[in-house]
Amino acid sequence: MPLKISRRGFLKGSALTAGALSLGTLGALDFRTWAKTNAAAPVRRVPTICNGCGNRCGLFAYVKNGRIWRIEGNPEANGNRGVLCPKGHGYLHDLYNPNRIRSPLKRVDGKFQPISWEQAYQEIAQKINLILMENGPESVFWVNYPQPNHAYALRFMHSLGSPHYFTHGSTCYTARNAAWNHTVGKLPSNDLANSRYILVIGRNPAGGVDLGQVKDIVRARENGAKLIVVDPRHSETAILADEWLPIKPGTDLALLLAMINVMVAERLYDARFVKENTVGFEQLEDEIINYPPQWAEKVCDIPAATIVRITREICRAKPHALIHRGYHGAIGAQYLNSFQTARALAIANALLGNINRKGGIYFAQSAGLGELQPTHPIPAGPAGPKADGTGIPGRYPLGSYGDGISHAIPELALRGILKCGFVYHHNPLRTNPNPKRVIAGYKKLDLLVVIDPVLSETASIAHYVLPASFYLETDEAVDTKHSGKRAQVSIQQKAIEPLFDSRSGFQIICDLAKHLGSARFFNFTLDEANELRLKPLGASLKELRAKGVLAVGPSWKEGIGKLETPSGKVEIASATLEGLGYPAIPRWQEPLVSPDPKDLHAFRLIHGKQAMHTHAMTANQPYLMAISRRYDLIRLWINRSRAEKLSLKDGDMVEIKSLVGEGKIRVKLTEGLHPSCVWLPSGYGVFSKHLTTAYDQGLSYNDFLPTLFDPTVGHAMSSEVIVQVRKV
Amino acid sequence: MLTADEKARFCSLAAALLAPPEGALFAELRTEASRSLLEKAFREWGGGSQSPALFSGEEDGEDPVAALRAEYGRLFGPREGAGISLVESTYKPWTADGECRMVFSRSTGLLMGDAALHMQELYRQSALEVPEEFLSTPDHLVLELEFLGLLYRSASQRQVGGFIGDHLDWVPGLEAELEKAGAHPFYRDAVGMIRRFIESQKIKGEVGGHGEKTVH
Repeated sequence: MPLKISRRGFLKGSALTAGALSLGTLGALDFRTWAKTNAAAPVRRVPTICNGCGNRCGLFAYVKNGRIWRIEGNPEANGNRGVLCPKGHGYLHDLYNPNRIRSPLKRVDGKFQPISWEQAYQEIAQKINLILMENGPESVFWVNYPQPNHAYALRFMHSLGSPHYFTHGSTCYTARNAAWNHTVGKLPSNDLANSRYILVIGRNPAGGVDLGQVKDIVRARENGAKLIVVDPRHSETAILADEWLPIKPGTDLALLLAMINVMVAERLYDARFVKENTVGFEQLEDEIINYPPQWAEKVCDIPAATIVRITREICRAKPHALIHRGYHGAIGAQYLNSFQTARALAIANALLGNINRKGGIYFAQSAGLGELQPTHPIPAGPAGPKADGTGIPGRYPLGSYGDGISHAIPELALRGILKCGFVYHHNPLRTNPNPKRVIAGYKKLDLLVVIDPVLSETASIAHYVLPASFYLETDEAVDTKHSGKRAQVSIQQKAIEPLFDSRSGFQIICDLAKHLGSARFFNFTLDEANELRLKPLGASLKELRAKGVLAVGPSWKEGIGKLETPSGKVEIASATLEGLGYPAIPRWQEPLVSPDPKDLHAFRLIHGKQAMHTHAMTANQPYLMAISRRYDLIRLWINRSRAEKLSLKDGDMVEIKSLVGEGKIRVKLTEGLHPSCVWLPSGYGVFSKHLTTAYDQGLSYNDFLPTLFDPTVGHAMSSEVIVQVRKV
Repeated sequence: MLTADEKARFCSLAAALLAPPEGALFAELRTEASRSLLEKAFREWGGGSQSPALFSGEEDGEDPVAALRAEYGRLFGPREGAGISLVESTYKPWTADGECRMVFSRSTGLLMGDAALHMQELYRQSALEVPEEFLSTPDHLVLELEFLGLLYRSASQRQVGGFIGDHLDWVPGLEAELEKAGAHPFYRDAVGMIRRFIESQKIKGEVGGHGEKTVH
């Protein structure tokens, strides 16, 4: 009797019915012989951009036998110029990770079930249509970490009538951007390579890796430039520096005010530049006398003599000298005074006369991508403001409307204002402050759709998960990430066939729009859209595909011209800010909270990146986590003298506790940290059980942060937290 | 002694045991044809005349297939439980090509290793179509057993032994994983049976590799 079971075969083909394999098959049967032949296969090079972090470095992917074979940096890409960091190499592990999501998933009775794309789209569309009818388009949002498809995500939200497109900016950089915008009109770049004196305050390009900047700093140092790093921690950039100034965290504003005080008092500033290109210097003179170095020393713990010395030094090197424009640390989103700190930093640079000067702060050339309309009409903008209050007087008037305040999403969900959300290339459950609150908010949504290659914390609680292709498996929209002294456009390109039933972010956005009745706004292919975007730049898609990165437009020229501020000049005093009820000139502002100096257990919790990790997507890469373990990097830094008062030895386990969270971790005793704080490396503390390498390794600073909104910009103030540290 | 046809049928049976469980599985296992094939196989391996008792499924109450399905998900599902792999590539270094410059070139635990590429080539040469759900895992044990079944109908013992040595040498590792995970006896028995079968066949392939079978 024949076995029915033998008919359940998965392989299909004529050999099954004929019952025999061909000579060719048998010839190829020996693995070693095949492997030898296979090793001689040709290698193909595909230019694309990395997705190991937000820098999106240009790279060449080499492909052999349909598999990724080697990667190397694209020397033409301004942001990385031929090199790649550990994240770029380590993140590739995820490509062949068996735990990637293999098809769309639907949550049923608390468990995920694989479903087809069509079923997923239809069900999502049905649910959104009900939500739109009952709650209006404002109840739908989209949030993503920066990615090249942002224009299409925005178009999608606008096609539904929703203003609620968010980025992660409020937890990262919005205070910095607002300050620069209100001082010089836009966010500038740093001409590090040509600078003779570089002062870096609260930025760590060698840790939160910016390869182009590290190369420039090294080049400037080789040319004799002096590098001073001001940071509570002896950072990776401090290792490269002539001098490290361990500032008391949250007091960078005091240092900058005192430096300005010295510049003004000793007439060290560029008087001609100030006269011709700024407004409000007289008001500054009046205000700045309040902040002598002797005052600042008591606030920020940097000796007055040092403040005077470095001010004189940097002024001697002006205008080929700069104070780094900053990022997340100190001025990005960490303190109540971050906005004022960034304003002071911008003004101090202006006093050096270095705005848009060689070796100073300069305005990067921008590649103005073309529009898709009129060929492909754009939806009308949404009628109402964002519910987060960005740009609204009395709420967060200096908040970025474009970025929104993404860490307000859970609050808006809990209040029933947001009902449905799309999370793309982002993991707010791990990267937003106060995860218990974030989880409660996102779980309150009637519909949560997450687009991700893996089951992150956020994906794990979604109603639907749509598998995004790994970046080497798909084309995406053209981008302008690498612009510098010349504008550059770049493109992510498919190097290998997708391993699973995944789709590109662009396609998912278009598919969702089409299922929601917005097909007329998405009546183009990716290639058509990319061609239209490149058109005004005189660049062809074919050429961009061949090179991965193209320089476009004219080269940068020195000279300030008319700025994009209300006065057209550098606004040392800002009438706009005054009109909104804020100081026209930066003034000292205490941090929101400070540790009680009498309490031996009280510390400010600060955080920062290590070179092999970023946010939440690298910790699960085995090689990157192996580096963390090998060098014992998953530890809380604590100043040795403070630790000894708590009877702590290097490697001891401690408990950290704040108002909202607690956890245990081993300590690293060091002289390389200001005594008032403890420092936690970011990227750890993964709690998605599906991320098996990273699960339960270390802690995240977000576990301890309350949900805070700076009253001016709305940023997260992510270092305004005091923790208690005790030996376990 | 098992004939080539019986070995081919055994491979098909073994592949079915490690595919996602279907309703007809137990009924088919209890047929006379299955029992006699398994008993003969066990005798040949020196394992006595008893096929694994738990193939009867009597322990699992009213709905043994549902229980088995849940256990399959727990053991082999990509998202929950033990996360045990049925894919050859994950048990072996990703590639033996010394020219590969990827950081993970010698790592285990990854898909689409050399083994997968070789299997893809064998399917291509044989004009065999791999179903969509296996496109990223052409070296899944289920497919490799099905392919082995075809080999028994076409290849010499030496070639069969070579294939087993090249592509099924990782099964003992799978057996150990199942043991560690406290797998349901059904799966421990199934993989144990496959391990004993391939061990016996490998030896036969190695020592009996004289002369070539006629290739059709």
